[in-house]
Amino acid sequence: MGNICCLLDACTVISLIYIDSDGSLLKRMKKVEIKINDFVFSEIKDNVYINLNSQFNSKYINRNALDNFRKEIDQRLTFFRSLKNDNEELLRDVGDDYFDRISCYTAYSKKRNGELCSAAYALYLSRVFEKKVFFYTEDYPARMFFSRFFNFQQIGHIKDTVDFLILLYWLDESFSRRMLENYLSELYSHKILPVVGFKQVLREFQSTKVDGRFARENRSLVGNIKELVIKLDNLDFRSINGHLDYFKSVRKKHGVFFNSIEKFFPIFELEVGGDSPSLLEKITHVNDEIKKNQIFKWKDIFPA
Amino acid sequence: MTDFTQKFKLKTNPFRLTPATNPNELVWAGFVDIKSKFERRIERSIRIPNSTLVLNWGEYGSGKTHAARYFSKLDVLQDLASKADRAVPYSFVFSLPKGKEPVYSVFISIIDKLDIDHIRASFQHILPRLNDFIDSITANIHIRSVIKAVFESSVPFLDIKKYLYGTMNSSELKSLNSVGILRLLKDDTDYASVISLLFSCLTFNKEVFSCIVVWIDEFEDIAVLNNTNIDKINNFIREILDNVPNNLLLFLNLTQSALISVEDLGQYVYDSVRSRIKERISFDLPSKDVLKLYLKDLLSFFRVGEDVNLFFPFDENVVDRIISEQGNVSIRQFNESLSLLIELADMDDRSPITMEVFREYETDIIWHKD
Repeated sequence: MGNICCLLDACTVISLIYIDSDGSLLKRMKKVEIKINDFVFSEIKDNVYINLNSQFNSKYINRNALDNFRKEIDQRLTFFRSLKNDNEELLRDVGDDYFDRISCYTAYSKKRNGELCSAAYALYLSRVFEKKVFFYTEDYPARMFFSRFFNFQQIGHIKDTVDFLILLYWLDESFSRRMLENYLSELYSHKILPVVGFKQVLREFQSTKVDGRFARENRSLVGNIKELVIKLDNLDFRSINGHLDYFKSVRKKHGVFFNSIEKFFPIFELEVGGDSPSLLEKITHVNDEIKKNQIFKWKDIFPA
Repeated sequence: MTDFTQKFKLKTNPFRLTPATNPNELVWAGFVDIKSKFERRIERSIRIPNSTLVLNWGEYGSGKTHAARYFSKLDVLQDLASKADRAVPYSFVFSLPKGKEPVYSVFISIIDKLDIDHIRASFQHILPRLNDFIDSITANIHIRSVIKAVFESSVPFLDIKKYLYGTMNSSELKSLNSVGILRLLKDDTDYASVISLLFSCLTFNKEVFSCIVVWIDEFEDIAVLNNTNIDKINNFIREILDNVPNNLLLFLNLTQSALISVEDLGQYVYDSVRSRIKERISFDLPSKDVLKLYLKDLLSFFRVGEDVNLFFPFDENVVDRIISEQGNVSIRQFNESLSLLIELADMDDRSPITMEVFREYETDIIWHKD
C-alpha cells in the first residue's frame, strides 16, 4: 500500500476483535501498514472486555466458551499491541506539549482522549514520514470534528470500520464477497446489541422506578429518558449526546441510574448530524449495495 | 384498609402490574377476541397431535409478553385442558437469546424450568412403556440414555441436573456411566436432540402432559443477531419442529419496530421455518371501545366494595379524554398514563378523578401521541 498508513481508533479495534470469529481478519490486516496510538491502546485495554457479558448472556453463561473467547481476545490484543507507538518517544521528538498544542489549534474542548491523540499522531506520521493517513473510527462526532483538520492539513481522511473492511476486501484476492457480508453482519450485531441492551435498561427503569412521585420530582430526567427511548427505538441517533450531557449533569442526584447506564456510553458515539446516515445505516446500505454492485479487485479491472 | 383502598376502592394500583410476573397478579382484562384466539389455539393443540408454529405480532407494549405469561399459568392451562378432557400442557416461556451461543442459552433456560422431581413422580407408572417409546423414536443411544436418566428415579436428581447444565467434571461423569452416559453434551445438535426427545417423552400418548407450549418472546431480536446466530436459531427451530412432529405448540412473539416488521421476517427466518407458520395472531392497537372495556374489566378485578361508576375512581369523561388525547396507543402506554394519574391523585388526596383533577396533571401523563 506504499505510503498509505491506516491509523485505528479504539472502537474500530474493539469491533475488529469481536467480529473476527475465526482470527482470519487479523491475518488479512498484514497487507496494510497499521498504526495505533499509545493512548488509544490503553483505551482498548480498558474497554475490550466490557462487551463480553452482553455477548455471553450473563444468566446463561457457558464458562468454557467465555474463557476461550477471553483467551482469544488476549491473543488479538497481543497482535494490536505490536502496532502501537510509544507516546513518550513521540513527545521527546515533538515536545511534551504536543497534544495540548493540537488540542488548542483544533479548539478541542474535551479532555485528552484517543481521538485527539490519534489526530495529533496522524499529523506527525504525515509530516515526519510523509504518509497519507487514513484514520478509522466509529466515533462519528469525533469524525465530524476532526475532518476539517485532516482536510485542511492534507493529512488524509477519516473513515470508519466499514470502509476498513472494504479496503481489506479489495486488497485480498482470497477475501470473498460472502466473507465481507458476514463481517458486516457481525459488525452490525456487535454495534446494535448494546443499543438493544441500553433500551431495555431504560425501559426497565421507566417501569420499575418512575411512579407518580418520581415523575413529579424528576420531570426532566423522566422526559429525557422517554425521548431517548423513542430515538433508540427508531435508530435515530441525531442529537443523542444532548441526553448524555443531561445524564452527566444529574449524575450526583441519580447515581444509581447513572452507574447502570455508564457501560452503554459508547453508543453515543453513533450520533450523526443532519441527514447523514449512522454507522448502522451505513452497514445495512453497504451490505445491500455489494449484493448489487461489484467492488473491483485488481484483477477485475483487466479484461478476462 | 389502606388509604389507597379507601380513596379509590381498589386493592392496589392495577396499572403498575403490567406485565405482571407474579401468577396471582396476572389477570386477563378485556381483549376478548385475542383471548379467545389463544384459548382456541391452545385447546386445539391439547386435543390434536400435530405440532404447530404460530406468529404473534404487534407493537411494543401491545400485550404479547403478558399473553405468554398469562397462558402459562397452571390454572389457566388446567381450565383449557379440563374443557378438552385431556391432560394439562407443559409450558415454557423464554426470550430469544442475544448472546454468542443462542441454542445453548435456550437449552439452559428449558432445563431451568424443568421440574425433574415432579416429572419423575408423574411418569413413574408408565416408565416401562416410556422407555420402549424412547428406544423406538431415536437411534442415538447416547441421547436415549440421557433422557431415560431424566425420567429414572434411581439416577440421583443432582447428578442429572448437573449433567444437563454441563457443570459435571470427567470424574463426576463416572457416576452416570452405569446408565450409558459416557460423555458430556457438547454442541447445538446435542442440545436440540435432547430437547426434541424430552418434548416427545413429556407428551407421550398425551397421558401426563397433552402438549408442550413454548413461547419465544422478543423474537424480533433475531434482527440484531449476526448471520451465524441467525443460522443457528433457524436450524434449531427447524430441528425441533422436524423431530417433535406431535404435540408441540411454538409461539414466536414478534414486536414490530424500526428494526423489523412482519414483512422483513423473510430476511431472518428461512423458508424452512417460515413455511411452518400456520397462524398469525395480531395484537392490533386497541380502539376506544376495546380500551374502555379493558379498563372496566381490569378495575373490577381489583375492586374493593362497589361503585355505580364502573370506571371509578375515574370519571368516564376523563377516560374518554385520555383516549382521545393519546390517539392510537398501545395498552402499555394507556396503563402508564392511568398509573401516573392515579398515583398523582393519591399523593394529593384527590378522589374521584374528575376532569378538573385530570387537567391539573394532564401535562405529566400525556406524553406520547405517536
